[in-house]
Amino acid sequence: MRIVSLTGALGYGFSLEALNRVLEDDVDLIGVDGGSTDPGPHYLGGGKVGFTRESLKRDLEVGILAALEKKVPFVLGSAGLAGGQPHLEFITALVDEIAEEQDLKFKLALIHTELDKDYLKSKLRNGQVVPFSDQIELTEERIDRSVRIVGQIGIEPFIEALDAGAQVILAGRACDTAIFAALPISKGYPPGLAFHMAKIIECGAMCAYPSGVDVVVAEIFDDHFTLEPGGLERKCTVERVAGHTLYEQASPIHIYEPHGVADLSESRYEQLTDRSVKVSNSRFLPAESKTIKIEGAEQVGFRTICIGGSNEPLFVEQLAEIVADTKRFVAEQVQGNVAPDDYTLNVRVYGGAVNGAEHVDLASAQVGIVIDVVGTTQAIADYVLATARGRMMHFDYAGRKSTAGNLACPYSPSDLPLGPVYEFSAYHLVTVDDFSEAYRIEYRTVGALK
Amino acid sequence: MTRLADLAAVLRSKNAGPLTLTIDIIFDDRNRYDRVVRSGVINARRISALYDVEEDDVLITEYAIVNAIKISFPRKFVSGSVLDDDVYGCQQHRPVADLKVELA
Repeated sequence: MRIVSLTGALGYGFSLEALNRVLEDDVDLIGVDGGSTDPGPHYLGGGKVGFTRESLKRDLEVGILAALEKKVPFVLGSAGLAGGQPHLEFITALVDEIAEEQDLKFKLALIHTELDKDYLKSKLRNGQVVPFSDQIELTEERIDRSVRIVGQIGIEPFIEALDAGAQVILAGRACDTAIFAALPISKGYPPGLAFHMAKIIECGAMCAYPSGVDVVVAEIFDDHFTLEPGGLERKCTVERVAGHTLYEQASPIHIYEPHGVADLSESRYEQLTDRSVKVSNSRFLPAESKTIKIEGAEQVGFRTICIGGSNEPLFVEQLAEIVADTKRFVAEQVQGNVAPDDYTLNVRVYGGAVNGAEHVDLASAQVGIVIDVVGTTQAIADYVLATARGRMMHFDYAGRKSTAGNLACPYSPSDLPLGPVYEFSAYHLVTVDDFSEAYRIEYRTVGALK
Repeated sequence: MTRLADLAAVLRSKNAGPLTLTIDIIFDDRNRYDRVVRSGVINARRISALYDVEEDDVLITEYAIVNAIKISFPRKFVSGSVLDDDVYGCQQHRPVADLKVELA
């Protein structure tokens, strides 16, 4: 069984030549991952899609046309980066647009993965929400405050949609591996190999040298799988393939899935041809309970920042005191208008003695400063920021000769409102009785009325 | 004494999910990897001190197949939270890069 991964993430692009070369032989599925939490909570919280509309549409169009021509399923996971309802709707609208323009007809499956808040609260009350750590405390209030919470689905809904004959599957938040592992596992291939293969190809040709956001193809057999990049300028090497499981994972030998762990501690890697690698002996250890990882985001305020710089040695030397004074001054000035809990003032200093450096010559140092205020309203953030900026700009530090202003501001306006600020409000495991608790599949026939 | 970054081919940090930072130290050859592992320079106590995290929360994995040492521990601030200063976690490697190694 041959499975194609288009690129590291939908919207990054990929080479048409590489794809066409891979499609010269038969394939069984074309998939691509669409998401990540890596760019932070803004996308999940704000309902914003990562990448641009144009780049997403290009990758979708090429991928879907190729899959329909080959009569194999096209599968996208974590639509629109965060996989929430607005993200899935955005991508679905693009797919509808492509179908309209290209006069396509196909069966579409939409896998919805936003979780109901009452469902989560009852899970919490039943002790079925398990934290990874004490970094985020999930309470019923925090569930209510969250803009949205998604569950990271595994292979089950993909298998269901594939079995139902869906030709294009667009999923909300999904395990990267599920996109590519669902089909081989449903056909009886060993899950340890399928998940290991999927974990490598979900990043596209990152497992190749030179690495890149590009096409890669995997072929899975009963006791091994092989990997080969689409582009002839790339090669899969044992070093790259084995090293790939280090990337963005806490452990290089365990891949955690909703119903168990892929154990790579005994995996064997062999150079098959000069461009392809063979992998065997990856195992799967089923877990006792079924778990779904959830991700939530809540709005915590509005941000306004000011960017400035200084190359004045006396200012740089006294910066710690100047910052402390600015915080004191702001607290005093806004008293009566803004409660202390209604804002966070953070002065970020770039340059100088940071990050463990042993010696910095302050006399020749130049620093960049971001005055950063998050307030409960945009007006509060604007007000506190302006007060802080004014103080830092004109602070009369000891020995000051440069009395006209302390900060070189590159922009007019100096104060930049950045809008709503979100934080992750949930990153937990939920124990489920059945995986179907975490998703809903909607089927549509696209282009039916033509 | 040699700086660890001068011995490694790759020395990088990155998020492993929004709660966890992970640091990869990859060597070009087995000999260097073995000598750095033997030196004991990477241990939970030292990482705990450098990054102000609990020693018990530090996970160190020696991954000999690609001559790599992996260090993972909880972030001080969750990725993208109000006081976080590195959403991707990709510039948190410096304290490890600056470690000095006595090679046996």
